[in-house]
Amino acid sequence: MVIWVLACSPEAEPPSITTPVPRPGGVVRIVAVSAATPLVTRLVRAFSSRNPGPPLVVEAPLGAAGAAAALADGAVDAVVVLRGAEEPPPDNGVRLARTQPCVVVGPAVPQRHIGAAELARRISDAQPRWRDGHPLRLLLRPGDDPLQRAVAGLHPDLAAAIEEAVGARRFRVVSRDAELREALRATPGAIGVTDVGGLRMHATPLWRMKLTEGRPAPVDLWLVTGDAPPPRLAPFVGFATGAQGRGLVVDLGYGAPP
Amino acid sequence: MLPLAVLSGLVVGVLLPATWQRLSMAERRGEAAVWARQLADGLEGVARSRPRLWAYDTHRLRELTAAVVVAPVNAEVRIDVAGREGVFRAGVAVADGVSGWGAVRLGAARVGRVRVRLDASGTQATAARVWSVAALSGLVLGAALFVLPLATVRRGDARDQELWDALEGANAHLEARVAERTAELRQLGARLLSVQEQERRRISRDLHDELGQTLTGLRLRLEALEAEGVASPHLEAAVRAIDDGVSQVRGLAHNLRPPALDALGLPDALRAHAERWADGAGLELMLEVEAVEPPHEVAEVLFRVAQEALTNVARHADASAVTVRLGAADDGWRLEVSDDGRGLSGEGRQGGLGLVGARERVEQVGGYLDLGASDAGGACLLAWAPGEV
Repeated sequence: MVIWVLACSPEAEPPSITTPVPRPGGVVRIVAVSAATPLVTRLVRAFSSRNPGPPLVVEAPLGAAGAAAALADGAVDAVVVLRGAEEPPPDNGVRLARTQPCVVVGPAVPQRHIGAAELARRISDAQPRWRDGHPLRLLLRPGDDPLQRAVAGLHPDLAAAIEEAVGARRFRVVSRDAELREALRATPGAIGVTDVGGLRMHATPLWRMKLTEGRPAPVDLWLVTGDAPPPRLAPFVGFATGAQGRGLVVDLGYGAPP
Repeated sequence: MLPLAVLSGLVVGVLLPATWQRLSMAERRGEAAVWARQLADGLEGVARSRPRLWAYDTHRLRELTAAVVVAPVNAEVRIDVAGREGVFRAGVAVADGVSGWGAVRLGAARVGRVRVRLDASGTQATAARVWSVAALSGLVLGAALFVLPLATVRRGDARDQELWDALEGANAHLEARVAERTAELRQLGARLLSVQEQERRRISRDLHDELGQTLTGLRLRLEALEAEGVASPHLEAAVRAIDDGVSQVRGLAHNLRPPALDALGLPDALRAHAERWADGAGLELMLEVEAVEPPHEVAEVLFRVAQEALTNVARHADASAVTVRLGAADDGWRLEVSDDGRGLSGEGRQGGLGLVGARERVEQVGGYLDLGASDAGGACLLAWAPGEV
């Protein structure tokens, strides 16, 4: 007994937690993943200009898991997340838009088309390089990102290569879409995944690579609410899924949902 | 040796590895606590910028976590807020690990907490190896501490036994020499006694036969002168002086060698001497004398002892009655002289020269002499001499 006590030092006690910061009433809060935040912001702004009333606030982007947790905890009233077109729809979800995942490179990369198998092979090398011998720098999105998942689905080797790259932390991971676009622009030899809607909306000087072995499956933007959404949210949903909202979505470079 | 060996074995085999394991785990736990506090500090910045949604900002939380919990450390980060445990998780799942905690404060409120759980499987595996090596070392050390001193002790015991044996041999040799010398001394003493008694006997006989006859002859001549008509006061005085001289010669001869001892044997000689002594001393005498016949040297010793004892009673005891017993006892002869006087407290009664000489005489014939209290309250002298009764 004495020896056991000697050998086992006690675990530290966890600190207590006080009540959360109270949420101000009367405001409808929406949060989106970073790839969808610009589109949602434009939709909310257009809706608010046409429908005065309690304000709708678009919070700074959260990750998909954080957004889902915030909605579940009641910290926000609605979230906008990406989900593959082939995946089952989320509960209490409404499609806002559809976008096409794409592979982009910085302006200094001379190569403009690549096959999924070749991309898999190149990023699997110990020292990844482009065909002209310049270093290839893959900028990854978080592991559960639907856009990246859609690109990886083009070829089994590519999926395995990306999964290995994420697990081995061989490449930099950039969480936010805006940061990723800036990193792709500024990093020589960089290659990464984004979506056509975001690319068009921001007009970032990036080149969209032509994938020679097919196109990634599209990804939908879903507005998801809790079981009891605030009344102010319903008109917004109606606006966004209506003709005005869809027109704005298409104008911004996204596809209208089916 | 056994307690020391067990204690040493326990210290090396159990206490040291346990201490090492405890310290190692505590160090690992401290490391986790430091990382948790650093992460909590960073989270406080996030919480200040987004007080309500900080815990859901997985982008920033992931960046912060990656910056603090640096690869390749195997660590699991969990962030808790009120009502939701694990609102954010990062890192690798750690099954065997230690945890450190940090509180996320926003002003005075604790709005969340972060737990960093570090993998401790490596420490545990090392601890298992340390335990194995230490346990083996403890066993070896304990056994060595038990066996080596035991062999030394056994060698020391054997050496001690040799010394004891040598000492006992030397002691036995010395005792044999002492016994031999004692026997020689006893023989010499007995021889001295014998010579003394022979000399006394010769002197007594010479006094009685030669000087006594001479004095008797001289007296007869003086009586013849008186018969012839010579009358002189000097003649009468001379006759009286010769009578005194004859009487003194007879007393001297008697004391030197009681004629009754040779003529009558010890019992009668002792009886005669005691009665004569009692008459002279004016004391009541009780005699219990058996008809024993010890050898000459023993008879002489016992007689002399009785003489000395009675003399001692007359001089120091202040007694009114004396009892003298002589008989056979315990493969020997026993002489007892007791009185009703003032006992051993009297002056000169315990160790005078006479008694010392009496004791030496008895011991020279192999016996012993005891001096104690009598039933009548006086002293009691007991002498025993061995022999075939």
